[in-house]
Amino acid sequence: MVRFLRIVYAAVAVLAIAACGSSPQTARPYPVRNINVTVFSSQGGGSDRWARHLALLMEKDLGVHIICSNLPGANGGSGAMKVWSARHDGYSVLGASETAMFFGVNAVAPTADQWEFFIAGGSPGVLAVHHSAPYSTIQDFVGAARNQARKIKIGNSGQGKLWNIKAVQFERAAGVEFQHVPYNGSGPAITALLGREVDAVSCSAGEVVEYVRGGLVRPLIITETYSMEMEPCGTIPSAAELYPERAKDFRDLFQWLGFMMPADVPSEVLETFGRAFDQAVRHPKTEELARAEKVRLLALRGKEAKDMALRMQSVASWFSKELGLARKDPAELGIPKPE
Amino acid sequence: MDFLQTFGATIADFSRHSIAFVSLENLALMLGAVVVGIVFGVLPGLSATIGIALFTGVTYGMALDKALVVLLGVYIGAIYGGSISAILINIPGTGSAAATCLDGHALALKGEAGTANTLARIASALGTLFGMVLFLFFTPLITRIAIQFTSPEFFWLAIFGILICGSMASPDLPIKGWIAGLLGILMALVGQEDIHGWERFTFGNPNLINGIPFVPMTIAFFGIPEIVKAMKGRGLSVASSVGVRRTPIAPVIRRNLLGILRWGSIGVGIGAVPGVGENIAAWVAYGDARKRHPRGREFGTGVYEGVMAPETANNAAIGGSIIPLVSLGIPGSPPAAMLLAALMIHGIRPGPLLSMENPGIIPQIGALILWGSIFMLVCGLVLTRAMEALLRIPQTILMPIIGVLCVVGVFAYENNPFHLVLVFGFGVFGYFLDRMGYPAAPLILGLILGNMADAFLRRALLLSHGNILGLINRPISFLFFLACALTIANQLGLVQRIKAILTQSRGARDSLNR
Amino acid sequence: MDQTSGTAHDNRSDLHDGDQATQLSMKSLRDKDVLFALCLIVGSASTLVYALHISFEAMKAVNAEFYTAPGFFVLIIAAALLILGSSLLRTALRQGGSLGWLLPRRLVASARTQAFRQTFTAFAYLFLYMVLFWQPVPGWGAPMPFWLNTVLFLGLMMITFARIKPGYIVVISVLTTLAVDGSFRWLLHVPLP
Repeated sequence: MVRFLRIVYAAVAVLAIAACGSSPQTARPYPVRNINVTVFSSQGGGSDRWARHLALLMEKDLGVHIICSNLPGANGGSGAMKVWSARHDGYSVLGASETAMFFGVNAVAPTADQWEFFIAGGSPGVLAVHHSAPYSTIQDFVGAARNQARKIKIGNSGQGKLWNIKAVQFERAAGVEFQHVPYNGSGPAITALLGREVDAVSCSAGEVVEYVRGGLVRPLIITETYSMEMEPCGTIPSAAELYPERAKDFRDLFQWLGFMMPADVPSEVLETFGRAFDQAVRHPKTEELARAEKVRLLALRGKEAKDMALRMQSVASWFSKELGLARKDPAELGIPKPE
Repeated sequence: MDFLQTFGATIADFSRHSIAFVSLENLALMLGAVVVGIVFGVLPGLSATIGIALFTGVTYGMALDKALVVLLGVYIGAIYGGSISAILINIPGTGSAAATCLDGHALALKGEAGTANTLARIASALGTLFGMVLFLFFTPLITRIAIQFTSPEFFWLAIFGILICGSMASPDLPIKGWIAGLLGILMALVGQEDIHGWERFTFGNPNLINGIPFVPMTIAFFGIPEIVKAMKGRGLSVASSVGVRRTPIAPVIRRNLLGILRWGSIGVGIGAVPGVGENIAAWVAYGDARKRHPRGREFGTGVYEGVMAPETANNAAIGGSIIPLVSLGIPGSPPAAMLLAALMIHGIRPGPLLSMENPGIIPQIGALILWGSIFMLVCGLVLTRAMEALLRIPQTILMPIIGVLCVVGVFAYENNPFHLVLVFGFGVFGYFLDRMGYPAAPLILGLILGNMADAFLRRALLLSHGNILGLINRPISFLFFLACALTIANQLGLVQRIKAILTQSRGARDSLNR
Repeated sequence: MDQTSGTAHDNRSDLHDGDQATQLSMKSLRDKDVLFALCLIVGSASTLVYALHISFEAMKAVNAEFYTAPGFFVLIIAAALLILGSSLLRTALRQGGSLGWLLPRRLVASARTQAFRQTFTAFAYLFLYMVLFWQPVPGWGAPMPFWLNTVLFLGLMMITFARIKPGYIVVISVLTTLAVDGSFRWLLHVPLP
């Protein structure tokens, strides 16, 4: 009896394999079936929220379901490799953020030149202090830092991550030295600021906006090329206005949220997906979300997005190397040094 | 007077919301959510965090108050549900139930699965309610304390947890508990560390950059050994005598009322500390119960308090972890972090202004927690009765099915096939450790706490520029340090020795005086 | 072990391995402790070296102090593990542990027992199940469908270990598969292969 069963099992296995192997492919215009978006970070983060929000709006336009799932790990490499190893046909899309600019030096996934980017926008960086801190302007803050090197503590979301690099860029522009204190994400860094463990925090405007509104945290400067309104503190100046000679530093590296696809996906597929993407980003609901989360919408794709990504990758990669974190030398990867 | 006034207003608001909750739709939603939550809790690999994450998507189109009903119902159900599989099959359904395994399953083997399940259910409900009360009335106070937790305090809290794991009951030599704990800590240190972003023990494998995840590891160290061991049995069921002995519950509860308050406070306190969560709360409460119990040495062999303490604390941590979430927008635990994300999707941005701009939100959430725990009591009763029948199924049939659920649970955790590789490898390791008499519990606790202890120790030293005094020069950190020192002294028998010396010298003085 | 006899432990753990005398199983535990303690000592010693290595490397590459270097805490834990490992070795040797069981002749003998065969088979089935879960089947290019894999796994497990009628095996494995597959795919939206 047992032997009989084993034979039955083997037969079932063979039949099933045969049945599933022969599903015919018809050539109809993209998209004919559901699109899978793999978000490369865990649920609830910025990239996840934005990918899900945009996917929901794009569904109507594309006429198919867009199913979002998360695959964190390897600093985004796990999700990226899942998309990369699937067929490059536009049905597997990566939900990504600027962390993808470190793929090359982290040696977890292909570099930016092998991807196509759909950039929705991002929240600007900000340096913020506790409301009871003795600095009311950025000048006070820089002055205090100048008097005592490495005494002012700046929390960030992790060594070598975007907000750490922003703080380093700022300290170089201002010619001072901070004590950088890395935390495991922006949330814990802001918590440390509220508990006054650190004097300031470098993070995105969206992440502190509620604390600013509640009067617990005071933003001092936007570490970008543009200033921003943050009630009730008025217009916060930008680092580029303060140090115009270093404006390029602040321009080339910023937070972005959006999608990525392998660059060799057929161009008409990229175009169809991109048109739906444009509409979703310009949707009033997206504008509302962007206002609440202090996100500046960009709606970049195609060559524009790629050029920007390549510039950003070069800045990010060489910074990574400088901080001793690059697993692969950017020069070896053919990533040019930023001018 | 002012305080009394707010107190009364809160009670009035809370009762209003509790009554307003009663509608057919709300009751049905809550029932469904709690049942699904319990099922998530029971299934290994599916935790409260994943439950809330999955249902965030499902509730996307609902109104906010309905979505909150679902999400809180899932949260409460899942934290409780973990205890059922811990008791019945010795595999914690969620990480927070790992401490419940020790005495819960031992009770099941003695034929007291029914008693253990009832105790776990009542303790969970009481814990949830206790957390709710503190959440309703003491949110501002507890927030003020929780925000005082900086790196040294986090470090000492982790060390405290590790010390508890060291003294965990071990089936063989006591030293094996410590070794298992340290192995867990070492496993936690795999991956990119928090201070310099340096990689440790990854040996170039990108899959290990973000460390060894803790949910799959509970399956590797609890699930796989149980499944393989069962295959060597002679096809027997776990316990042929389910519920033969039904001990009256009421006296046990009455005896432990004070304990429930203590464990509830531990749960709320640790839940409210940002990012720490119910896993540690359960262990600290277990350690507390063991230390204070007159028969503390028998913990691990089926003591009622060993089930009640962790279950009270992990459910009380729900209220605790929502406290900083509502008052500051800082989640107290991983499931609360998921809840935060869900709120943001619904257009609510928690922050210091949330309770000012939506004054009803605290009593509203309180009312939901109240109803959630009522439903948990009822659904739990029905579901556990049904599941206790599982114990009568021969293990050689039950355990393969559990095996399928474990593997699917690992895969559903983050859809990462690499986790299956990890689970198999560590499952084999876990099986041999089990055969050699090493308890899995301290290893898992070490895995949870290892990275926290490491990162916060070095961050504290970075902030104090290497000054060790910086670790103990604040009131809370000093208290924690004292607690740790006392625990070690107690463990090494120093306290008894000092006492003996004192009584001796007093005796000598007395005899001199005479 | 003696003070806990009569309680849950001897039911739960197979330390006593059924009918074998406690004395014998104690001896075999200590035998294994000797080997494991040696592994621990070697492992923690190499971890110590590794910790020092990464610490000094980090101190060279970036401005890390010794107390913030990546290996600082690893060093503490490895040192503690080294001490505990040595202490375990001492206890095990004192209580009569030895490495005699590692002789090839005796290893082969212990591999011939039924218990070993059952353990090995159970692990093999689990391994097969997990591998087939995501590995593309050779010559086909896609992983096996989840339901087929699960039916196969459950069937194999129960054919080998359970003593029930084959008809029940088919019914149980098919029902379980349907329930798991259905609920995960449709209720929880968890994508399964």
